[in-house]
Amino acid sequence: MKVFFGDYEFGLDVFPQTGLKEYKNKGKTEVQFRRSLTGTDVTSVPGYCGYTEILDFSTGQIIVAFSPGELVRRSSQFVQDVSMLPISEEDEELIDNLIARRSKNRRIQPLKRRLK
Amino acid sequence: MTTERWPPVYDAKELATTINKLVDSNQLKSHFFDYHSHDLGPCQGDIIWLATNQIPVLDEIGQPSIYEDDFCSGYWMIVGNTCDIARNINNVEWTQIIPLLDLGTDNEINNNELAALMRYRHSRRFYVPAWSNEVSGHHFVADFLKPVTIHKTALFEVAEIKAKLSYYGWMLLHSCLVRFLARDDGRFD
Repeated sequence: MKVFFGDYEFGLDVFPQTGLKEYKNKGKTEVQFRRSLTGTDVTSVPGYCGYTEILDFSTGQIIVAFSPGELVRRSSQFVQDVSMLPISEEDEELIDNLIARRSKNRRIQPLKRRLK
Repeated sequence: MTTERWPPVYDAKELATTINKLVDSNQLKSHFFDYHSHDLGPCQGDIIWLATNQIPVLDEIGQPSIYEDDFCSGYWMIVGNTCDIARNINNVEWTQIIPLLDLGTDNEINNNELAALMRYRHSRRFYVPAWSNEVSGHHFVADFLKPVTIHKTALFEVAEIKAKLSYYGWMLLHSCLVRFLARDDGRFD
């Protein structure tokens, strides 16, 4: 089975079950990686940072294509609407105080070689 | 120096909605980690063990120093972009991690603090629940204020991946990372 996307031609055999894989695109070496989204085996097709295409291994189809920013925005489609408060100053203070309380034996040691 | 308030570059309303929806989603609470993808390479959001809890910093006079504290656990979270981690090391040699601080168990954190941690309405740390029996009962925060640069070879050959975030966990991390770096300017609050 072959999968085509733009100038890329994929054979599913080029995708290992684990780890990273290099392959050739018009003679240029590219790298692909995998991670699991929504329980489906996928891979991010290399290209430019800020733009990601997702390949559904089970069907061989490109199922998503959007930037990380768009990814965050679209995530709202997955869950229920609740409230709008992004940051609570009270919670910030509570957590800052918790960190300060749980900090024990805080120390900062300079490295031996000093900046000239 | 400008005296005007700087607006967030990011769409704050949408970002806030996303974070709150994810936090209040039962799916997030029950699926923070992905326990089926440990054989994959390192990715953004992974929890790793490095056997060091020393944090390299520049101190108050700009001097290279080591920060230590008993609650620095030796666990770290990868915050560098997965795309950069996957790229050839000759092109992208370094990435970033942040330390996980062990805040202790329920006996050492009061209910108000625990509730605040889980609301994710604080911006400088990221709450991480226990990911395995190894740390069962403990509450952690990943400290956005102390990023550390790490050579990618150490990620692949030295670091031990302890847990991977689920899609929802990663989405929450991603949203909180963006909020930490691009949140509204609060100088005049």
